[in-house]
Amino acid sequence: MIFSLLIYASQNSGQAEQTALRFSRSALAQGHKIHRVFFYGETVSALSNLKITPRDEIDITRQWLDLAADDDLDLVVCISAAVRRGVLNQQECDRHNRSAANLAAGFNLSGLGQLADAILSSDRLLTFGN
Amino acid sequence: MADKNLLLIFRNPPFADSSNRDTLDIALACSAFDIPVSLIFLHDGILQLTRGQQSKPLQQKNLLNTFNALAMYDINQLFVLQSDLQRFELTTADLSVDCQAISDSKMAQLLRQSDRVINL
Repeated sequence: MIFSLLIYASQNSGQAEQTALRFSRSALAQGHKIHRVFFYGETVSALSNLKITPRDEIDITRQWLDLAADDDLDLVVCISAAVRRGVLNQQECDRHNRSAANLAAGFNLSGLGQLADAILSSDRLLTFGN
Repeated sequence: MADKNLLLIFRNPPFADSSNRDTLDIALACSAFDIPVSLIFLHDGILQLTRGQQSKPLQQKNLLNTFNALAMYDINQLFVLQSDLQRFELTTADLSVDCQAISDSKMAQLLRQSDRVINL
């Protein structure tokens, strides 16, 4: 089965994103495909590469990247959710004339059209919200 | 038209958080991709649609303008629950946007008929 995931929860105040990550690992291990993981809303705040995770805690962003490296996941971040939270790639940094780009490498900024495409291209869309 | 339809659930009151705006943005984007979109307003979500909301004192954007423009995006399927109208002592005439008031069992049917449901 082809899944897509919509991640909406805040990374710091709940376990939804961790559940999404575990679901992804489990689905991939069972031979399912994940068409796209779409990051939207408050969850986007955590995708800054300036974030420091305490050494005895888990860096979920890092774990998404590890999973993406192993299984070629498409990690897409809503561009309007990102720029309003100060999470910029180099292109948005230049466009808005800011001092630095900080989107964690491995994530791509794009529009909600990528969510619409995920809806059309997947057998299931799972939302991990609040 | 796309071969999948989408139901979006609004269940939070206006100005409380960004979920209503975020859900509305999904509606507009998916409609632009020719996905048939329906919206349902549950519980406190119905308050999002009441007439005469003044957002200026809160210095917030009033989403009602966008809700009123949904028809231009070919989004005409808006639903509220009769039970929620009763709870808030409202009628559909108190709502700023044309909505169909449906029973709880009709909502169950609507959920079953929807290929995709998003509830932020």
